[in-house]
Amino acid sequence: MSGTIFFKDRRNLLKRGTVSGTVNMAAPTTGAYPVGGSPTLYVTNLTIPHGLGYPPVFRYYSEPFGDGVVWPPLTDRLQGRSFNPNNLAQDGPGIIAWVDSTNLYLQLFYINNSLTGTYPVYYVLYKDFSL
Amino acid sequence: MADVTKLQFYSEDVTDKIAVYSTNDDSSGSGIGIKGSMTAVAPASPADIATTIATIPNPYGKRCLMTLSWSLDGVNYFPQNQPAYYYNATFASYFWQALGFGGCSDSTIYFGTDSQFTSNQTVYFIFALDSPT
Repeated sequence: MSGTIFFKDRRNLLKRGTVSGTVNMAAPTTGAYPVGGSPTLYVTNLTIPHGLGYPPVFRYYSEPFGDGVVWPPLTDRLQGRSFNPNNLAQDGPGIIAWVDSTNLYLQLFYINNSLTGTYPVYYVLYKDFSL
Repeated sequence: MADVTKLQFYSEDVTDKIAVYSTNDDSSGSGIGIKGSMTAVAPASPADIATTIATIPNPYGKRCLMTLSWSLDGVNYFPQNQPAYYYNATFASYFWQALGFGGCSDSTIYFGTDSQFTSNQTVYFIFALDSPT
Protein backbone atom coordinates (compact mmCIF):
# COMPACT_ATOMS: atom_id res chain seq x y z
CA MET A 1 0.00 0.00 0.00
CA SER A 2 1.44 3.37 -0.96
CA GLY A 3 1.08 6.79 0.56
CA THR A 4 0.29 7.81 4.08
CA ILE A 5 -3.05 7.07 5.67
CA PHE A 6 -3.94 9.14 8.67
CA PHE A 7 -6.98 10.42 10.47
CA LYS A 8 -7.99 13.12 12.90
CA ASP A 9 -10.31 12.25 15.75
CA ARG A 10 -10.38 15.47 17.74
CA ARG A 11 -14.16 15.71 17.33
CA ASN A 12 -15.04 12.06 17.07
CA LEU A 13 -15.84 12.84 13.47
CA LEU A 14 -14.75 9.47 12.18
CA LYS A 15 -16.98 7.29 14.31
CA ARG A 16 -19.95 6.28 12.23
CA GLY A 17 -23.26 5.16 13.64
CA THR A 18 -23.96 1.63 12.52
CA VAL A 19 -27.04 2.62 10.52
CA SER A 20 -24.88 4.57 8.06
CA GLY A 21 -25.23 3.06 4.64
CA THR A 22 -26.71 3.11 1.17
CA VAL A 23 -30.26 2.73 -0.05
CA ASN A 24 -31.93 2.78 -3.45
CA MET A 25 -34.86 5.15 -3.19
CA ALA A 26 -37.76 4.96 -5.61
CA ALA A 27 -38.40 7.89 -7.93
CA PRO A 28 -40.46 10.64 -6.30
CA THR A 29 -44.06 10.24 -7.43
CA THR A 30 -46.14 11.09 -4.37
CA GLY A 31 -47.70 14.53 -4.51
CA ALA A 32 -46.80 16.82 -1.61
CA TYR A 33 -46.99 20.37 -0.35
CA PRO A 34 -50.24 21.23 -2.15
CA VAL A 35 -51.23 24.76 -2.99
CA GLY A 36 -54.80 25.23 -4.13
CA GLY A 37 -55.28 21.47 -4.13
CA SER A 38 -52.38 20.76 -6.49
CA PRO A 39 -49.04 19.36 -5.34
CA THR A 40 -46.06 21.66 -5.69
CA LEU A 41 -43.57 18.80 -5.49
CA TYR A 42 -43.52 15.03 -5.83
CA VAL A 43 -41.59 13.14 -3.19
CA THR A 44 -40.38 9.81 -1.91
CA ASN A 45 -39.88 9.69 1.83
CA LEU A 46 -37.82 7.20 3.79
CA THR A 47 -37.44 7.10 7.57
CA ILE A 48 -34.42 5.28 8.99
CA PRO A 49 -34.28 4.74 12.77
CA HIS A 50 -30.76 5.39 14.04
CA GLY A 51 -31.14 4.60 17.73
CA LEU A 52 -28.50 7.11 18.85
CA GLY A 53 -30.72 9.02 21.24
CA TYR A 54 -29.54 12.44 20.06
CA PRO A 55 -29.64 14.34 16.73
CA PRO A 56 -26.33 13.28 15.19
CA VAL A 57 -24.11 15.20 12.83
CA PHE A 58 -24.74 13.63 9.45
CA ARG A 59 -24.12 13.99 5.74
CA TYR A 60 -25.74 12.55 2.68
CA TYR A 61 -25.15 12.12 -1.04
CA SER A 62 -27.01 10.74 -4.04
CA GLU A 63 -26.71 9.77 -7.69
CA PRO A 64 -29.43 11.94 -9.29
CA PHE A 65 -28.57 11.34 -12.94
CA GLY A 66 -28.08 7.59 -13.41
CA ASP A 67 -24.47 8.08 -14.50
CA GLY A 68 -22.71 6.71 -11.45
CA VAL A 69 -21.54 10.09 -10.18
CA VAL A 70 -22.09 10.65 -6.47
CA TRP A 71 -22.91 14.27 -5.65
CA PRO A 72 -23.70 16.06 -2.44
CA PRO A 73 -27.10 17.81 -2.39
CA LEU A 74 -27.18 20.01 -5.50
CA THR A 75 -30.39 21.91 -4.92
CA ASP A 76 -33.23 22.63 -2.51
CA ARG A 77 -36.97 22.15 -2.55
CA LEU A 78 -37.52 25.73 -3.67
CA GLN A 79 -35.80 24.91 -6.96
CA GLY A 80 -37.46 21.50 -7.13
CA ARG A 81 -34.86 19.51 -9.08
CA SER A 82 -31.14 18.99 -9.63
CA PHE A 83 -29.31 19.78 -12.85
CA ASN A 84 -26.30 17.72 -13.87
CA PRO A 85 -23.23 19.96 -13.41
CA ASN A 86 -21.54 18.02 -16.21
CA ASN A 87 -23.95 19.14 -18.90
CA LEU A 88 -26.27 21.70 -17.29
CA ALA A 89 -29.17 20.15 -19.21
CA GLN A 90 -30.08 16.77 -17.72
CA ASP A 91 -32.12 17.04 -14.58
CA GLY A 92 -32.98 14.65 -11.78
CA PRO A 93 -34.41 14.56 -8.30
CA GLY A 94 -33.15 16.67 -5.47
CA ILE A 95 -32.54 15.25 -2.04
CA ILE A 96 -32.95 16.65 1.44
CA ALA A 97 -32.41 14.98 4.80
CA TRP A 98 -32.89 15.84 8.41
CA VAL A 99 -32.56 14.12 11.77
CA ASP A 100 -34.08 14.04 15.20
CA SER A 101 -33.02 12.05 18.24
CA THR A 102 -34.64 8.93 16.82
CA ASN A 103 -34.60 8.91 13.04
CA LEU A 104 -32.90 10.01 9.86
CA TYR A 105 -35.40 11.30 7.32
CA LEU A 106 -34.54 11.17 3.63
CA GLN A 107 -36.64 12.77 0.92
CA LEU A 108 -36.21 12.72 -2.84
CA PHE A 109 -38.18 15.45 -4.60
CA TYR A 110 -38.93 16.55 -8.14
CA ILE A 111 -41.16 19.03 -9.89
CA ASN A 112 -43.47 16.39 -11.41
CA ASN A 113 -44.14 12.65 -11.22
CA SER A 114 -42.45 11.68 -14.47
CA LEU A 115 -39.32 10.08 -13.02
CA THR A 116 -39.04 6.30 -12.80
CA GLY A 117 -36.60 3.76 -11.40
CA THR A 118 -34.48 4.12 -8.30
CA TYR A 119 -31.73 6.45 -7.12
CA PRO A 120 -28.81 5.43 -4.90
CA VAL A 121 -28.58 7.48 -1.71
CA TYR A 122 -25.63 7.43 0.69
CA TYR A 123 -25.84 8.60 4.29
CA VAL A 124 -23.41 8.80 7.18
CA LEU A 125 -24.42 9.50 10.79
CA TYR A 126 -21.71 10.17 13.33
CA LYS A 127 -21.54 8.53 16.70
CA ASP A 128 -20.83 10.67 19.78
CA PHE A 129 -21.04 13.81 17.65
CA SER A 130 -24.40 15.50 18.07
CA LEU A 131 -25.88 18.72 16.76
CA MET B 1 -2.85 2.13 -4.55
CA ALA B 2 -5.09 2.01 -1.53
CA ASP B 3 -8.46 0.36 -1.89
CA VAL B 4 -11.09 2.27 0.05
CA THR B 5 -12.95 -0.92 0.80
CA LYS B 6 -9.91 -2.45 2.44
CA LEU B 7 -8.52 0.44 4.49
CA GLN B 8 -8.92 -0.47 8.11
CA PHE B 9 -7.62 0.02 11.59
CA TYR B 10 -8.80 -1.30 14.89
CA SER B 11 -11.71 0.57 16.39
CA GLU B 12 -14.73 -0.27 18.48
CA ASP B 13 -16.81 1.79 16.06
CA VAL B 14 -17.38 1.85 12.34
CA THR B 15 -15.39 4.81 11.05
CA ASP B 16 -14.82 6.90 7.97
CA LYS B 17 -12.20 5.31 5.76
CA ILE B 18 -10.46 8.24 4.17
CA ALA B 19 -8.79 7.27 0.93
CA VAL B 20 -7.54 10.71 0.01
CA TYR B 21 -6.92 13.76 2.11
CA SER B 22 -5.34 16.65 0.31
CA THR B 23 -2.71 18.86 1.85
CA ASN B 24 -1.61 22.40 1.35
CA ASP B 25 2.00 21.74 0.52
CA ASP B 26 1.71 21.67 -3.23
CA SER B 27 0.12 24.14 -5.61
CA SER B 28 0.85 22.34 -8.84
CA GLY B 29 -2.55 20.74 -9.04
CA SER B 30 -0.79 17.86 -10.67
CA GLY B 31 -2.33 14.92 -8.95
CA ILE B 32 -4.65 13.33 -6.47
CA GLY B 33 -3.97 13.70 -2.80
CA ILE B 34 -2.55 17.19 -3.07
CA LYS B 35 -4.15 20.56 -3.40
CA GLY B 36 -5.83 20.64 -6.76
CA SER B 37 -6.50 23.68 -8.85
CA MET B 38 -8.70 24.47 -11.77
CA THR B 39 -9.48 27.48 -13.89
CA ALA B 40 -12.95 28.90 -14.07
CA VAL B 41 -13.90 29.96 -17.57
CA ALA B 42 -14.91 33.55 -18.03
CA PRO B 43 -18.65 33.86 -18.61
CA ALA B 44 -20.11 35.28 -21.79
CA SER B 45 -21.42 38.18 -19.83
CA PRO B 46 -20.74 39.37 -16.32
CA ALA B 47 -24.48 39.12 -15.79
CA ASP B 48 -24.43 35.35 -16.29
CA ILE B 49 -23.16 32.62 -14.03
CA ALA B 50 -20.70 30.27 -15.71
CA THR B 51 -20.22 26.69 -14.58
CA THR B 52 -16.90 24.95 -15.09
CA ILE B 53 -16.12 21.32 -14.33
CA ALA B 54 -12.55 20.11 -13.95
CA THR B 55 -11.79 16.42 -13.58
CA ILE B 56 -9.00 14.17 -12.46
CA PRO B 57 -8.95 10.37 -12.62
CA ASN B 58 -10.11 8.47 -9.57
CA PRO B 59 -7.38 5.88 -9.11
CA TYR B 60 -9.31 4.07 -6.41
CA GLY B 61 -11.95 2.72 -8.76
CA LYS B 62 -14.71 3.17 -6.19
CA ARG B 63 -17.48 5.67 -5.75
CA CYS B 64 -16.52 7.73 -2.74
CA LEU B 65 -18.08 10.39 -0.58
CA MET B 66 -16.31 13.67 -1.26
CA THR B 67 -15.81 16.55 1.13
CA LEU B 68 -14.10 19.72 -0.06
CA SER B 69 -13.27 23.33 0.59
CA TRP B 70 -12.46 25.85 -2.12
CA SER B 71 -10.47 29.04 -2.35
CA LEU B 72 -9.72 31.84 -4.77
CA ASP B 73 -6.40 32.81 -3.24
CA GLY B 74 -5.13 29.53 -1.83
CA VAL B 75 -5.29 31.01 1.65
CA ASN B 76 -8.91 31.58 2.59
CA TYR B 77 -11.06 28.47 2.14
CA PHE B 78 -14.83 28.18 2.08
CA PRO B 79 -17.03 25.11 2.54
CA GLN B 80 -18.67 23.31 -0.33
CA ASN B 81 -21.74 25.03 -1.78
CA GLN B 82 -24.74 24.03 -3.82
CA PRO B 83 -24.49 25.13 -7.46
CA ALA B 84 -26.05 28.51 -8.15
CA TYR B 85 -26.76 28.28 -11.86
CA TYR B 86 -30.35 27.30 -11.14
CA TYR B 87 -31.15 30.71 -9.88
CA ASN B 88 -30.34 32.65 -13.05
CA ALA B 89 -29.27 35.52 -10.91
CA THR B 90 -26.18 37.40 -9.92
CA PHE B 91 -24.07 36.37 -7.00
CA ALA B 92 -24.46 38.03 -3.68
CA SER B 93 -21.27 39.72 -2.60
CA TYR B 94 -20.67 37.28 0.22
CA PHE B 95 -19.93 34.56 -2.33
CA TRP B 96 -17.03 36.58 -3.69
CA GLN B 97 -18.52 35.88 -7.12
CA ALA B 98 -17.78 32.19 -6.99
CA LEU B 99 -18.57 28.93 -5.26
CA GLY B 100 -17.26 25.39 -5.36
CA PHE B 101 -18.64 21.88 -5.24
CA GLY B 102 -17.59 18.38 -6.24
CA GLY B 103 -18.58 14.79 -6.95
CA CYS B 104 -17.06 11.40 -7.57
CA SER B 105 -17.64 8.34 -9.74
CA ASP B 106 -15.77 5.07 -10.02
CA SER B 107 -13.41 6.59 -12.56
CA THR B 108 -13.48 10.36 -12.16
CA ILE B 109 -13.37 13.05 -9.50
CA TYR B 110 -15.26 16.21 -10.45
CA PHE B 111 -14.55 19.75 -9.25
CA GLY B 112 -17.20 22.31 -10.05
CA THR B 113 -17.15 26.07 -9.91
CA ASP B 114 -19.90 28.55 -10.56
CA SER B 115 -18.45 31.96 -11.19
CA GLN B 116 -19.27 35.38 -12.47
CA PHE B 117 -15.86 36.73 -13.34
CA THR B 118 -14.91 38.62 -16.46
CA SER B 119 -11.56 36.85 -16.65
CA ASN B 120 -10.23 33.39 -15.87
CA GLN B 121 -9.61 32.64 -12.23
CA THR B 122 -7.81 29.78 -10.55
CA VAL B 123 -9.88 28.01 -7.95
CA TYR B 124 -8.13 25.85 -5.38
CA PHE B 125 -9.69 22.81 -3.81
CA ILE B 126 -8.83 20.83 -0.71
CA PHE B 127 -10.73 17.59 -0.65
CA ALA B 128 -11.13 14.25 1.03
CA LEU B 129 -12.62 11.05 -0.29
CA ASP B 130 -13.87 8.33 1.97
CA SER B 131 -15.72 5.11 1.60
CA PRO B 132 -19.55 5.07 1.54
CA THR B 133 -19.55 2.11 3.88
